[in-house]
This record gives sequence, C-alpha cells and structure tokens, in this order.
Amino acid sequence: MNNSRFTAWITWALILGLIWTVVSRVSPNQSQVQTGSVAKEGFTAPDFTLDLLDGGSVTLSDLRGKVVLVNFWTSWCPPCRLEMPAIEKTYRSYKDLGFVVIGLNLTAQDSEKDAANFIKEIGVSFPIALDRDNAVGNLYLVTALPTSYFIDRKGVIRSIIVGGPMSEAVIQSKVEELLREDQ
Amino acid sequence: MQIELLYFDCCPSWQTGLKNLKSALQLEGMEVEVNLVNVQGEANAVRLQFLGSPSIRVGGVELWAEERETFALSCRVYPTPKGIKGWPTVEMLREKLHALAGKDS
Repeated sequence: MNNSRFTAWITWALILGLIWTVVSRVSPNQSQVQTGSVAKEGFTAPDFTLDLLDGGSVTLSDLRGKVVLVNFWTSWCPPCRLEMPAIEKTYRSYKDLGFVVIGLNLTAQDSEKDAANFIKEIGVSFPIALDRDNAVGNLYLVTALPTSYFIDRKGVIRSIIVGGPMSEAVIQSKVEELLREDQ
Repeated sequence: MQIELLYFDCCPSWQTGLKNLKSALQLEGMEVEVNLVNVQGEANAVRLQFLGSPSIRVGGVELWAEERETFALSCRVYPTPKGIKGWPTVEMLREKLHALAGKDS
C-alpha cells in the first residue's frame, strides 16, 4: 500500500469513528440501561439510570447497601394509584433504616403532567423516575401494572409482585424482612 | 372458535384492546363474536388465572401466555413495535389469529 492510499484509509477510518461517536451518544432524555441481565427473582437487578420528575437522576446500582422497592406505575392505572399511599407510608416509616423507593413511571405510556399531578395529589415524597422511552420497562419485561420489585442490600431481586394494589402489611413485611438481613 | 377478552373494568386500556381485536378479526375475515369477561375481585382473578386487563383467549388459550405464579387485578401491558402499550396492536393480533387459523385448517 502506498503512502497516499494509507493516509486516505486512515482519514476515512477517523471520519467514520467520529460519526459513530456522535450518532451513538446517549441524549439527555434517553435512559441508560444495562443490557444482558435478567429481571428475575434471585438475579441481580438490571441497572439503569433515569431522570427524576423533580430534576436530577437516579442510578439503581448507586443504592447498593439499601433495600429498594422499584414500583412500575402509570397515572391511568387504578391499582397503581390505590397502592401508592401504602408505599408512601411504608417509605416514610422505614427510610431512615435504609429503605428506598423508586416510583418508576412508564412515561411513554403516560404524561409527565398527569404523573406530576397525581404525585402531588398523593403527596409522594420518594423519587419518581421517568422511563420516557420504555427502556427500563422493556429491560424488566414488565407485562402488567403495577409491578413491584423488592431488591435486597446486595442488589438482588428477592421478590416480584405483579398486580395490585399491595396492602401496607404486605409491603411492610417484605421490607422488614430485607432490612433485617445483614449488609 | 371461541374468543374471550378478559378485562378489569378499572383499566381503560381494554377498550382499545377490544377495538383492535375486532379490527383484526375483520381483516382476517373471521366472523366471530368476542365474549367479554369482566374479572371482578381478587378471588376471580386467581380462579381465572388472569394475567391482566386486557387478556385475550382463543379456545381457552392465552394469545400471549406467561409463566406466572400469582394472579391479581392488574393492567396488562404488551411489548409492541412502538414500545410498551396497554393493548396488543391490530398487526400483533392479526399475526396470532393468522397462525391459529393456519393450525386449525
């Protein structure tokens, strides 16, 4: 290969690399998800980063060491609405002991305005994450609403509850059980 | 062929599911009545092994079967080509009905 052909080849490779870097970057509104992991009981919860309704973002893996409830919901889903006060109450009772809730709104199936109005109406104080492109819903293979994932301090999904509304007693017993376990 | 649409009255998405099902049946040239089953109460959800609203069964078989250990009143969502929706699209339904019709013939 002569020098000029080699230089042209390198130039094209650099241009293509630059184009790839630009087109493959994650936009601010796009969720970041960990692909290739399984959202099943006994498996490490697939990681994600999502924007929060009140600004900022949340990354699931940053919550290691805490007991986490990831609750998938939409504002138009009646059982989701019904169980939200019980989740809020449990959150307030146990947050100081290391319990965190991520209210994961399937925003692609909802509207941020409706979600925000509902959250305000109930007085929810835990973080509400916005899954604007269904990335996390798809990752967790959500097939019904509400769906709740109880995750232990090591980041392992310990139980999944599909449907609802969950009673306060059910949420509390699961949270207490996981909080009792050693870190 | 018996077609049932199981629904939970509180989840409004079942109405779009029914509309899509009727369109799919029409496009597939299938003149079949859709029996609506209103699932009321947790006990019935368990008894009927209800996977969420709406769920569609043909000849008693779930069109989108799932391995589930618990059954409850819930709003079902479907992975569609346009993301997660509260109902299967007409095309998704046509594909399933077409496959079933092929099996029957």
